[in-house]
Amino acid sequence: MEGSFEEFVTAWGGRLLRTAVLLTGDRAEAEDLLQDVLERLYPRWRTVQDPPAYVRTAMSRAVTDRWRWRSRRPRQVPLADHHDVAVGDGSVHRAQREDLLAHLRRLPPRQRAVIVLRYYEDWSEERIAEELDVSRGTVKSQASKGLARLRELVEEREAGQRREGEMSR
Amino acid sequence: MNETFEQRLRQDLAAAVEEVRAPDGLTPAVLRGGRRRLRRRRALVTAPVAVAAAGAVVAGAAGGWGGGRDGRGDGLVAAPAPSTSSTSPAPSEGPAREPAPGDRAERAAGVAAAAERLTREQEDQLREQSVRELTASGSPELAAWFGAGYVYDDAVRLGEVWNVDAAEAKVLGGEDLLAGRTLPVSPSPELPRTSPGWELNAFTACGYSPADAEDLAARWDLDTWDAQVEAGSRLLAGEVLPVVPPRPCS
Repeated sequence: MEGSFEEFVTAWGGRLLRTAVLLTGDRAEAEDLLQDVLERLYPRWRTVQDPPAYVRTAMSRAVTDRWRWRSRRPRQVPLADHHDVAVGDGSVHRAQREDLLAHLRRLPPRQRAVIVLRYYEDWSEERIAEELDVSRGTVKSQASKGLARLRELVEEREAGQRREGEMSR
Repeated sequence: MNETFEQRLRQDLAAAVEEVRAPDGLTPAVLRGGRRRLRRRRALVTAPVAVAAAGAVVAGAAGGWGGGRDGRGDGLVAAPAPSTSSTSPAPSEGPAREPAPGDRAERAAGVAAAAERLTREQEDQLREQSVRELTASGSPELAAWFGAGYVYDDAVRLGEVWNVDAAEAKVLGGEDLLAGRTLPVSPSPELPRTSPGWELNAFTACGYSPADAEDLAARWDLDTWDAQVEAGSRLLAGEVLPVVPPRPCS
């Protein structure tokens, strides 16, 4: 790696934090996750060839390895769904974004990681399989189940909004 | 239909986090945490040094560096330590021209310690010559490092890039040079290519004066510069010079 670790964190911190938010579905948890992974990267800096990929893979593995992640985070308390719905600011877009994070959080960690890496990071199935150390078939099935579940959640949400709209008329 | 949903998902995922920015404190916090982890890791790897100082044997101490990836982790292997074992040969009595290995190590460490009390600029040079580096001196990695024209300031810069200290940067840099890899820093062209500063520091640290240097030069049939370098080299090797130092070196 040509640049310094500090330059890397400064340049990539925001981008990687966005991935972490999607992987965890929670901003505070995402910051903790990213910081933890970056700290682990620090001593290995010289030997890591592709630091962004290293961080993404490490974060994805951390959230899929639930037992380890949870055991290292005793203070973690899942937020209730209503905390995640943006209300009161009048922003429909913001509410939709928060909805998506809430939907993502309802997926099992591995499905969520596969969805984020496939559709946000645009990684191929082969690469996801390699980085997460699972078979390509697993990636395909997890992506398929994750997509189906997300669509279900989105459709439920939209149906609810339609009903609310009809009732308010 | 499925295609449409996937496309929408890509857009929604990007939109969901587009306003997320890294907090201002991320970089300093990560640097602090990273350094803390590095110190902890080194403490674990170098823990056998304390055991060695108490007379135990450190396995695999021949290589200089050890304990990490590629057999070249962050830690250091202990220098030969003075043995207190009852099976060790008894030290010879009376003033010895050739100190025992343990004495030499102690003496060299003492000289290094004394040298550290020199000026700040000299301290900077000394940092590169810590005891750990003495252990590794003569290694092909260091030879490659210095042979390529790198100096201490380059090691500092390289260390900043790799998150290692200057001494480690030289060894790791030398390793990469031997492997044919290009380092992320170039040798500083304005700095001298060879520096006997360490030997000179060691000589000065014992309080030797220019007159002593001339005395030694006459004894060894060298000019005063070379005599100082030679004297410093011998002091670092734990040897006793024919001219008594004005103050104890250790």
